[in-house]
Amino acid sequence: MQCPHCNANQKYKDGMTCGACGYRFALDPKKPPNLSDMALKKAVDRISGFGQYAFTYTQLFAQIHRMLLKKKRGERVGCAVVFWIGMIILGGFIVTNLPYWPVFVALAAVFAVWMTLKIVRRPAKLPEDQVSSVIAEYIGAHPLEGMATGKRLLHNGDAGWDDALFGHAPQGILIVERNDMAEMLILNRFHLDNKSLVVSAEKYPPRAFKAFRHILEKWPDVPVSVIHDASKKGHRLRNDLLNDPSWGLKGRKIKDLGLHPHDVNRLKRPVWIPEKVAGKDAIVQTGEPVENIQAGYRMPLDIADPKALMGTTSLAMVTGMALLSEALLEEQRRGAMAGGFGGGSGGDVDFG
Amino acid sequence: MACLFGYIGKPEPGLLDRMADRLSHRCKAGWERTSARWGEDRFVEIGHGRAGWNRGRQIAELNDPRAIFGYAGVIFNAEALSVSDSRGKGATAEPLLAGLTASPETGLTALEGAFTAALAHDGDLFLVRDHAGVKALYWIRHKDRLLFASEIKALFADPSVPRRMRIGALPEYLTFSFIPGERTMFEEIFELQPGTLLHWRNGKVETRRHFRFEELEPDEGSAPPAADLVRRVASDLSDSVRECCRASDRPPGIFLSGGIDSSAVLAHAALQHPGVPLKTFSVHFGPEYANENDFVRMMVDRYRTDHTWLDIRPKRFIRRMREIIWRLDDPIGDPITVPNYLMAEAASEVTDVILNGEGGDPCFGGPKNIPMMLASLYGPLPDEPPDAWLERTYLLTYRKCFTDLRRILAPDVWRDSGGEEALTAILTPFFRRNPPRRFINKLMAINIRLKGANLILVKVEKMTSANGVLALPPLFSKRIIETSMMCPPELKLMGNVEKGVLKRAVRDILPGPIVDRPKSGMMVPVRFWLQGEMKRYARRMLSKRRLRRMGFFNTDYVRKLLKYDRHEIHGARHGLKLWMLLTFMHWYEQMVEDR
Repeated sequence: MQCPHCNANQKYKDGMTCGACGYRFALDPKKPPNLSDMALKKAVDRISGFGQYAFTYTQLFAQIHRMLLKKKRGERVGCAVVFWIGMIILGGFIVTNLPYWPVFVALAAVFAVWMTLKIVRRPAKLPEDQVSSVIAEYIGAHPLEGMATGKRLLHNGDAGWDDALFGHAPQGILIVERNDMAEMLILNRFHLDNKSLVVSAEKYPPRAFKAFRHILEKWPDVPVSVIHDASKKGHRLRNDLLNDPSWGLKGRKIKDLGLHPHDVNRLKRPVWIPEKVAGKDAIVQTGEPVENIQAGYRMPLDIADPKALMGTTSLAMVTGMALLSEALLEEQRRGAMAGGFGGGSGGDVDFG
Repeated sequence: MACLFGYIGKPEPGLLDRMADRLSHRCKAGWERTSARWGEDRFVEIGHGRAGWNRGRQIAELNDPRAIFGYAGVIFNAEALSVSDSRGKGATAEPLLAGLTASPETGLTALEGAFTAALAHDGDLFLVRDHAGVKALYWIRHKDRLLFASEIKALFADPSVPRRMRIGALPEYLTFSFIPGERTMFEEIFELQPGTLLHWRNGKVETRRHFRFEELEPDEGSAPPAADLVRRVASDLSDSVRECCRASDRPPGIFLSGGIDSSAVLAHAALQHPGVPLKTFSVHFGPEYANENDFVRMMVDRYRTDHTWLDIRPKRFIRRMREIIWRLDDPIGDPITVPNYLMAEAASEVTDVILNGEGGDPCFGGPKNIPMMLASLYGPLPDEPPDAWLERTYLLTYRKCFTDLRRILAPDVWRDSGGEEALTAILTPFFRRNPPRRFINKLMAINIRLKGANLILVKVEKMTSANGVLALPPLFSKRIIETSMMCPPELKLMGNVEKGVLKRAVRDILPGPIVDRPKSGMMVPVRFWLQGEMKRYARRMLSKRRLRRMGFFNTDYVRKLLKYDRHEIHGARHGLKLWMLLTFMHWYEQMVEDR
């Protein structure tokens, strides 16, 4: 086991405390899904850009899911190699001992190729709790400072503000489905880069919701956009907001930027997570989006890492095009070529 | 072109000549000098490098009372302050000096224009810089002598002046892309701030900021009506353009960007020169990159200008990059410096005075206003220092290397520089000072005094002067700054529309799409250049050997930047960060190592 704190190598039999620096290992690498502390730290480093970005639980979840699938694929390739060695030995036996051996060899080769493809391509299914338990165990021992919890901004700046600020307006308002998503965007200063107010559908942070009401009252023409998961709740979100009088949005235009189910298929590896209430336990990567949603799954918006998600959302807000839509992806490609988007800054606008 | 230089203190034969020699690129039409002595240790010499657009002498001396005077640039109200029968067009500095000697401080602070000036009177020396900071002046007090010059490099004509880089300046440069405030990259060398008077008396230096435009902020509810202010902005701009056009006998050229500011200046200049096709200049970076050409074309067509399109590509400047950075004097990491230089070079072939649109952002609404308003609405975030969170947010909005500093700088450099606290401390006085009381006006004051005077104007001045051209920004005149501060913030940032009052003031003289388009900024495609034509150049300039010799940077991090590592580099913008490092390397080798 490699210590993520001091990089020392610790033998499993020497216990779960690093002999070099005293770091307490949280994950038992011999217990399924056989993930080490070092591997989890690498997942955190990857999504946070080595501590630059705040991230959501789902972003970490998706990254670990990707890591475990990669590991599983590696194991399957290993199986395929062993299988092929067996087939070669069998081929040798056929050539030396059987008449009409070319026919047998050809049959064996076809069978081998078919089996190999079956082994390697079979979609892997990971139980949801296998990933979540790994995260829970790790966080229990080593809290992650960069993780947006959806609670950290409950009491920020309890002091009042200068009402004169409402003499001005942001360029847009973005309502996101979940608190942790809103918090992740705010901690990463998405609101500053995009000159937009970010607030969650659960009215979080409270200060932002209060500001939202002031702004909307004074500047009704400020464009309002909403982003959400590909889920039953996400699909309803725009209407829920319009019908909730506390938002004061009735009769106003809200741009629903997705995720819309029909756009999800453009993802190479979607991650459908079972809704808690649906009684399912495995994460799936296949299936028709609408059917998956009906079956009790959701595709969270934040399976993309923070940097990619912010780049894409930013472009979606500017252009009014839905996330993952063909038009938006084309705009991303065009912008990346011409340097026209993101102030020529080289901003990453890929989505996952 | 045109420059001012000199010293007070013990006389040193040949020192002024050496200073002129170091500024020879600004003295192509020769230079003039004067001197005076008030005892053993109070010898004053003033030199002025002449430019093609200079009409009369800009050096003067009087015998009774004994006084000498020199200035670089243009003084718009010189005639009004002169005391002589020789007033009129082409007046020289003598009558102006006569007018100043009655009360030097009052006289010098009443001067208006784009200038730096030095006056020695009764054994005292006064230096003054114009209200916005169009012209730059540096000074050092060293060994019983005060030296001053339009460029830092001239101060090193005194071989005893140390070329010691100030460690704290490095994170400042990487955060702002320029050095904010009166300090420079060098220990002991200062930049005279805009609207500030320096007084040397008996070996002591005092500086006094006389242009306190913040005090013009009206009390709540007492601002003039919006319509009056719109009319006032329009007439101020017209007056400022008229003044600038008088600086030369020839019609001015105009740098056009396609934005509202330079377009407004062109429109007013065209009104001053009816029937004359003005020379205009703009840059683009080739058809494959985003550009503003359509907007530029609208103005060219509407005002029938004689336009020059400059296609800027690395092959056009890469061999001259070192020289261009040398001309910058104090490093400026904004990639627009090179297009500025090349435009000035092209302009110098047909004109000697150029008008530009600088000043529109700082005076009427910059891109930081909405982000800072939002930051105030959210309050301090969990990772921000409770007593300096606004300052920190402001630094973040520069979007340069602020978040990379811990990793890009060697640990000892970061520690010795004072870290983040030293950077936020630069801004704290601006946020705490009253007036201005209104938040947006505080931001505008920062923009006018720091970004305006220490980046925008200095950059243009250095790049145009190097080509013998006088650049004047009518939107950054004293009267425009004053009117801007009199406008309530709601007129400048109208909802989410920046420069609201300016847009209203120029709507009838500009095409609608130029007025209504959002701010875009000039996008220099450094990201693509540094992955393409400039890749090998960047690798050579930022080689491990070079970086280790300097010892300021974490070489591994710079390698990751060069490889365009997207995981470990904060906030992307690799191209801009590399450009800033390249600029610094060229600057350091020439200005500090004297290579």
